[in-house]
Amino acid sequence: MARRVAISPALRNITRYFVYLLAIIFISFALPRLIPGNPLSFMAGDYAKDVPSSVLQQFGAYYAPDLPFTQQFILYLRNLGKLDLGYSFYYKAPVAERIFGALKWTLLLSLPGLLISTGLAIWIGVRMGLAANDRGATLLLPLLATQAVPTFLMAALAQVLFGYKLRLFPASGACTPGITASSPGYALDVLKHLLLPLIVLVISEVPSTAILSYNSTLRVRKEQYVSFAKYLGISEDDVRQQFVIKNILPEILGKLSMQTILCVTGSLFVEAVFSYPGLGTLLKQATSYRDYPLMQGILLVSCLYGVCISAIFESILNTHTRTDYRRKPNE
Amino acid sequence: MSDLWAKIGKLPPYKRLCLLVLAAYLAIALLAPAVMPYSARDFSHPPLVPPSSKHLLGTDELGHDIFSLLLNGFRFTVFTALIAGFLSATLGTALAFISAYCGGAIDTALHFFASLFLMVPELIVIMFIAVFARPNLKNTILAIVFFSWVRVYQIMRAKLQDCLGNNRVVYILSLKGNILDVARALFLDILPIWSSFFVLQCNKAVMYETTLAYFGIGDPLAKTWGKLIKAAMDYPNLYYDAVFLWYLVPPLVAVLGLVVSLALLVSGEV
Amino acid sequence: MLVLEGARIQYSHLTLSYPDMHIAAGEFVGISGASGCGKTSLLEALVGRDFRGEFSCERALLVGRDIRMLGEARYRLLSYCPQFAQNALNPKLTMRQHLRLTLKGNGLSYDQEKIEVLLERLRLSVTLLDHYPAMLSGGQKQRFVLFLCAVKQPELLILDEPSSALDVITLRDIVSFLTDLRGKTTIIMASHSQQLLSKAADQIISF
Repeated sequence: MARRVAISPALRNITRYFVYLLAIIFISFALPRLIPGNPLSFMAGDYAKDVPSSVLQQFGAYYAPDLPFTQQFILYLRNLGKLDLGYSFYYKAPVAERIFGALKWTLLLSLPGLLISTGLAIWIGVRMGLAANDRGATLLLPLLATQAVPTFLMAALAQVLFGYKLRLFPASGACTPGITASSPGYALDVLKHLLLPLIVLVISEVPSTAILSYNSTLRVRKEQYVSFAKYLGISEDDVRQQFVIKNILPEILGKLSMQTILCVTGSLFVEAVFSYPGLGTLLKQATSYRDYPLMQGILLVSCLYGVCISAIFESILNTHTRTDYRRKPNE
Repeated sequence: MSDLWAKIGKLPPYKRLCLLVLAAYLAIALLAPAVMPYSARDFSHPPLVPPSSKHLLGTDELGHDIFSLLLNGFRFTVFTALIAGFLSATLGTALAFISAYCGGAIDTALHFFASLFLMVPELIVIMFIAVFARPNLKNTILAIVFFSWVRVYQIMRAKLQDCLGNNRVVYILSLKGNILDVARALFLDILPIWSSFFVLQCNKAVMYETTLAYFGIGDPLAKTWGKLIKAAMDYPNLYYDAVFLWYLVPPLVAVLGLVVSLALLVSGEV
Repeated sequence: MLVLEGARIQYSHLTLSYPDMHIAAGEFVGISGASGCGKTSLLEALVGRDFRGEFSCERALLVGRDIRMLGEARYRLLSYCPQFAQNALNPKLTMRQHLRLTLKGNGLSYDQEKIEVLLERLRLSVTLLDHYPAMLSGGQKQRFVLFLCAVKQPELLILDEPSSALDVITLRDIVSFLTDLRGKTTIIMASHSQQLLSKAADQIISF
């Protein structure tokens, strides 16, 4: 009797993400061309007027609007393979160069922001959930209100209050102009400039995950094993970590990957407001000056970032639940 | 109608406050043209005049009366929110219904796209679309709707799949009712969830539109609050003589009030 | 050890009055009565668990202290083994982890020998310690819950219908397990099985 070869879940996931990747590449290619009245189909027109002819030429070479659709796509793919993302109107430089230059600042802001806000949010949410009584939790409304505020608005407020009015923090940039990587005190300077944007990012991202953790905790709290743990005299800390957090993690991990993507978006807006030289500032310039190639590059990179983060989260989830709670240890 | 009043009466006090605030916003939006002292396009006034009896919120650096701009913003923001919210909530629900009813390949395809859209940063794609399209209000709304229906679709699909397993609907299906009959049968069940989503999507629309405006996207002639905030923040001398108090703070507070009220209204519902 | 006078539980549609109880240290008291007569509710009230009725009494002393004032401190003195223990174990922890946390919370050390003896008395194999709850049978789970209750060396052990653990383990084994504990631990056991009560308990209170 033939044995059926089971496709391991890991392989299935990789194929799925690969398909998503292809879909994103295709969409970032197709989308601008599908929008009615887009500049790619009206090369000689109003758009061509303000742009120097050399740039226009490169634009034409990269986008090739005269070629049929499929050939355009092949050209696009080939360019992607060469890491050629086109030429930026505004910066007069290759898009890829601009983006990779900015990427390190975005990672510097968004990765710590993500980790800190997630950890803090779970901490707050679980404690809130365990302390909640029939009248609900006192922190819930403030959290909901904070969650509703658009990130850029919070960044703007923080910049006004702490950057300009109270002068507690530097109000913009990643480091003081003039100081370079080789100057002494560079690291400290970077840290000082990072602080306010990071705080704003964390504050704007904490509420959603905290509320998620709070709701999950309310549910898990009612389980028999939580009260029984108390009867056994297991310490409060252990109950919180081993009984509550361990059991809400599977539930929130799925939604967590979505929050991560929102965090990426949020960090871009914080960067834009604080003129922090990451992808966010690039985005602001691109939209203000209608720099299409740059916009497209940013779209592609941020979508890829999103897919990567989702993939990482899912793999974490799979590792966590790989412990098969149903199979005996020796089997 | 009395049903509705009864439901409102049962809401906790802070939610009733939210409804009041939202009603005020709507009223101002409707009455704005009558109450505005000057036209929003009128920039004949002396620039940067601090608040006075002639200009309740002073004027901006171009000579517009800020109070009129603020009132004008009510109309744009509120109506954009209502329209975009309605469209995305309805689109999401309709697609979810088609998905749940038809099943099979259509469901798989829609579901695939929805999962994909969920994985990309929503707002950035919206910005992307809005930048490439011609800058007018209609395109801004379409851009917002194009992407924000996905969350609605996801949850509605699950709920509709539940409902379609429900006896009454199976009965109608077995009577060879067509898709419209089924839709009508489900309408009343879906309505409460739809309304929660409507408010949620309006909230999102305001947030998105304001963010887009801050980034300079959207109709340059439509002076929404986002544009006002951007203009204020672009003005280099904003922090001298407390100019920001009457230039930046009013639209900021207006946006916050709307967004927070909408969010608190549906908290705990979806 | 335990004094309970004038205990009453009020539900929306009826009130249950309980007989006064004076239980000395080391005694084994059985509570008998048909299902639904309120045995579990009284035990839950003593343990401090939320349930639907309103508990009131004239006097309730545990080791001389007013139970109602004790709060969570009572868990250092007593152990409660509920009737349906299917969900009393954390699905994400092994049995060994449950054991370690219980010992840690009560300031006890991991005494390999004593633990093995206790496990053996309840007919639980030592290899089960590395299993997760999902891998154990219902009866094994119930017995493990009883094990955890006993391993923390409480002064008062409250058991609600332990006979639901009877799949492999026989009545005799339970009786001998409980009899071993008696003297060091005061035991209150609620059961509808007259057989079990008559074999094990010193005193039987009927509800």
